[in-house]
Amino acid sequence: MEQAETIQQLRELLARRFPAPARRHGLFFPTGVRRLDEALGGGLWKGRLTEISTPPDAGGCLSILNAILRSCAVERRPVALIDGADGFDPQPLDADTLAHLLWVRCRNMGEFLKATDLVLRDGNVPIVLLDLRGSGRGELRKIPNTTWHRLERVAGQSAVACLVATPWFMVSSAHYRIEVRGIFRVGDLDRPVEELFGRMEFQVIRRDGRVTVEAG
Amino acid sequence: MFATIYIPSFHLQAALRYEAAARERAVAIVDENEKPARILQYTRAARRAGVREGMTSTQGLARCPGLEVRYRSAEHERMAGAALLQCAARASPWIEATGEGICTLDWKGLPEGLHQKTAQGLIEQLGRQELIGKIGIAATPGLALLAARNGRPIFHAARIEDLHGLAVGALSPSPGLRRTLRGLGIRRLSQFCELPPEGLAARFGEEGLGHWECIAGKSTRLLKLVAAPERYEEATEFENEIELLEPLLFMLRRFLDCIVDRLAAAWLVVEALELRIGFTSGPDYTRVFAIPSPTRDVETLLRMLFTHLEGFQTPNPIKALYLAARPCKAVKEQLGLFETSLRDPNQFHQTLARLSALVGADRAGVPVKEDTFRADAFRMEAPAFRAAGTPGKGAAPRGLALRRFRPPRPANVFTMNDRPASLIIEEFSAPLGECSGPWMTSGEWWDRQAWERSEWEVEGADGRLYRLFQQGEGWFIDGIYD
Repeated sequence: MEQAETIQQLRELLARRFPAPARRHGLFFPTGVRRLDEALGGGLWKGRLTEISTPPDAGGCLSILNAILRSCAVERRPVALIDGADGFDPQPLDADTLAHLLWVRCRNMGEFLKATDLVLRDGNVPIVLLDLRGSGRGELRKIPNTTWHRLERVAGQSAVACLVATPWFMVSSAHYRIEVRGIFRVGDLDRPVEELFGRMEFQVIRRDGRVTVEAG
Repeated sequence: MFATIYIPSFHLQAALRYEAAARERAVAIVDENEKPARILQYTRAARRAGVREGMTSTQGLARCPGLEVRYRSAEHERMAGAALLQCAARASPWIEATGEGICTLDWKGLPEGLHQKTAQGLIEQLGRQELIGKIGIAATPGLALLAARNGRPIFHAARIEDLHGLAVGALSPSPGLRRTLRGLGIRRLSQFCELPPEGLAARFGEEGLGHWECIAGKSTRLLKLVAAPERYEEATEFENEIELLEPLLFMLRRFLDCIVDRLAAAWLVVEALELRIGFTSGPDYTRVFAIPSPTRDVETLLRMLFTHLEGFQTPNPIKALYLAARPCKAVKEQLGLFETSLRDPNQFHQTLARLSALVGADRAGVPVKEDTFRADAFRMEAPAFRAAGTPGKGAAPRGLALRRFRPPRPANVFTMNDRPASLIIEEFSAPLGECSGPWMTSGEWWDRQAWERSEWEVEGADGRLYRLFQQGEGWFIDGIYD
């Protein structure tokens, strides 16, 4: 009995000292970017579409994708990157990180959507990153909303966490929408990427399907 | 006890294994090595039309104008023989390839009560292999063969006397011996067996004595044991040339069913598939499919073949098909507690094949950096996630990632004091802000592929950071830092 009381007291003490929000472990994948994880409530949610949008005059989006790739490699987790405009540069990443990456280099939006559909339906790769930041405006505007709803359903069925990087908010079925904004100078290119992430703004526009505006 | 599996009309069955319709037609098999070629075996329809063994093909055609005359196929007989042995190996580790379409099994240790059931299982498995077999079970190999030839389809001769009701013709005696026996009024094996052994050799010769000893259970022999072939293969030649995918897939499905059925009996799985397609003209097409996660799931294997054949085109019609499976033992493995793996590697392999078909093989896979300082030098390889290592804790990455333009975009750059001062591209034409460089790189100067360039990191008028490079006299935008 004494032991049980001691354990109970210890739990209460821990709860008072470290009042962390209850997290549903196993339902999301941490991205490796602390502030983005906080904005998303843990990480990329399985079976959900998450949209991060960076305005054309800002940067940092591809660096976040690279951080996710590094995080997945540390966890020995396969990850797919569907590259809408074939703009990903593998040079900064080490060979072991790249070995966990399935990179699909698309030439146009038709290839991009078909490849996304195939990878999401397959369901073998738990995290799928869709990079549309480099694609042309005209092509992006042609993607109908129904396509995103269909992809969201496919991701839900195969329990794949899907992150879409866009130049403006366009994924109507996204459960999470985060605006990422980072203004950088030439001198910043020598600074640690963690420091650069610290200077970015993460604004939650939609959380769990509900519109909200929170400063990150 | 011994069991003998006997495939009646083995040459015919091997030739028509995958042609159920042809078995109903008048078909005869001749040996092309014999001059003149004589009919060896024939279907029931041919027999009804008066075709008999030993006729020349011309005589056969005279009796039956619709007779299809086919040559024996050594390859098909070899495969049917291998299938027979592989099926037999399921029922006993001691098997003998007694003859063409005949296999003898030693069933020592198998309980008496299981003989009939095991034989029935073998008949059913042979049926799945498109082979009609008969099985005889008896105390000696000779008696088992005699029983098998007279099985319907199973003849279980628990006692020697069970065989004595057969006609002497069941021994397949030579014409001379047959005449002698008939002259003596011996019609049944029981009558032949009752003859006293003294003077048998003098009256019936060596052959008669051998038959007598066999049916009296006086002679036995050791089996010449063989191992079941380790290659699992199927082949057929099409009567009508194939031009569409559906009939090809139909046949591949049947092949896979047969192969997988035999593999299952041996507790093996498919490690690789070899597909060979023969055309009416031109060389054969051969392709080996490595199975990422060895399996004997027919659907998975067929899907793999289908995914490949979907994009396969040929100007020539298909006349032959061959499929072989390289077997291996099924491996069970336990993943580490924190190790993640592909849920279905075979499914992933197909998805990868589809992605390759969609965007090209060089545009889907794992990027591997080339051992050079040349910009954007990498190649794509097939993913092997299980073999991938964990990245070590190296120095923290610095700076932003570069979003590349492939190929680099030409640009007009005006310089001032040997530094880029103004950039003119489609989006804007404006003076540049801060810039850093030049970063000079070069390589392969010893080769024709020699390269040299100077890179600059610049801040554009739109607030974005660009990487410019100068190569020769031209300026290019390598990408945008993002």
